[in-house]
Amino acid sequence: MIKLARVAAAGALLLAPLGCSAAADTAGSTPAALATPSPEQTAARQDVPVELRPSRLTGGETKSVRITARCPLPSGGTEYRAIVRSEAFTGLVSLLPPASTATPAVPELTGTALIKADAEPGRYRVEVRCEATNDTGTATLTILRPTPAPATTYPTKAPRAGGGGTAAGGPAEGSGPGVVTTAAVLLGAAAVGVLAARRRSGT
Amino acid sequence: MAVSFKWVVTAGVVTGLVLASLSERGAEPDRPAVVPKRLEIPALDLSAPLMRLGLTRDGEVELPPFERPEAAGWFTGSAVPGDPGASVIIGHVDTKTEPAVFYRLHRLRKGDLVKVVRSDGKVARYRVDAVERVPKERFPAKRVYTGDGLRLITCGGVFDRRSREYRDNVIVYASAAR
Repeated sequence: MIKLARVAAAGALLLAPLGCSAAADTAGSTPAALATPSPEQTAARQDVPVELRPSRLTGGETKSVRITARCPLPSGGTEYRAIVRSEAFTGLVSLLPPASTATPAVPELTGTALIKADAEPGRYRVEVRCEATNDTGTATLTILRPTPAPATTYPTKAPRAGGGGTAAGGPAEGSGPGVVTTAAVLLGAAAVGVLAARRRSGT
Repeated sequence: MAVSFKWVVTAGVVTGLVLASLSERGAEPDRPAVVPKRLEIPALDLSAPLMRLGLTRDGEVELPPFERPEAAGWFTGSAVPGDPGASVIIGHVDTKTEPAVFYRLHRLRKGDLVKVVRSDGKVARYRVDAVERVPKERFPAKRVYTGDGLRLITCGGVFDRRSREYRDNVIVYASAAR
């Protein structure tokens, strides 16, 4: 994990000059497009409460998250809706008022976002922008590392854990002496033989 | 445009070089923080280094090489001993010429102590629950690879000269000692 961060940092550092040169190139031709400030930064007023259900989930497959945002009701005829963005989502998501015509006690917008199947585990910022009032709100989505599931996928074949070199009696029978024992017995017998021979020769 | 293209190439080359040097220095990114290092079975007077066993291309567990008969291997797809889940350690009973690390594994008895020393210094302690010998065509994969506890696996039974394979597996089931 640390290494991954290091690589990412290195990549970012190295790509930074590239980004600069690209920006410089385009700035010469279309300065207006880059100069436009993002409206939510200037006009944002308050933090809109944003709720995610669930706010923590396991990655590795396509899942969805329900988003609820308490955007203030618009004063004029503008549409009551909001846009949500997050790196973890497959795309932009629109939040709409509940289908029922009855005005809820607390005005809120809801929508469902699909999580990228290949989203890396980590914390993701979820940004909501209320269309009519430009209020913003954020929430944090945590994607957990999928737990390895050996219970569902595991090897099935029997390991071939033997070469047959000691198979004369079959090691699992437990009867025959091991090679080491045999060697020890032979060595011992040889020693006895040598001693006996010396004694007989009378030295 | 020519300038930015040059930048792209330069940045790409430098990024590649840095990534290559980083990956050479570092280990595999998926390597778990803690690994089992050594298996100790006092009853068999056994102390063996543990290597890592991954999966082969057909999805079966690798085996330690015959060149290292003294080593057993921990299946990296199983739990780290001492952690919840099933931990699987495989060792050869013999090579083509000599006994190997699990030559006497079948002699383990219920209650025998099995210890696994981990890279974080912790020692996972197990007591043998059962030792079984099963024909390979009835290998109890589910019992071995799921549940909780330590499993030690080797070969046993009759050596089939034609298939050059033992007919059975010897499996030791052990659970965490309290």
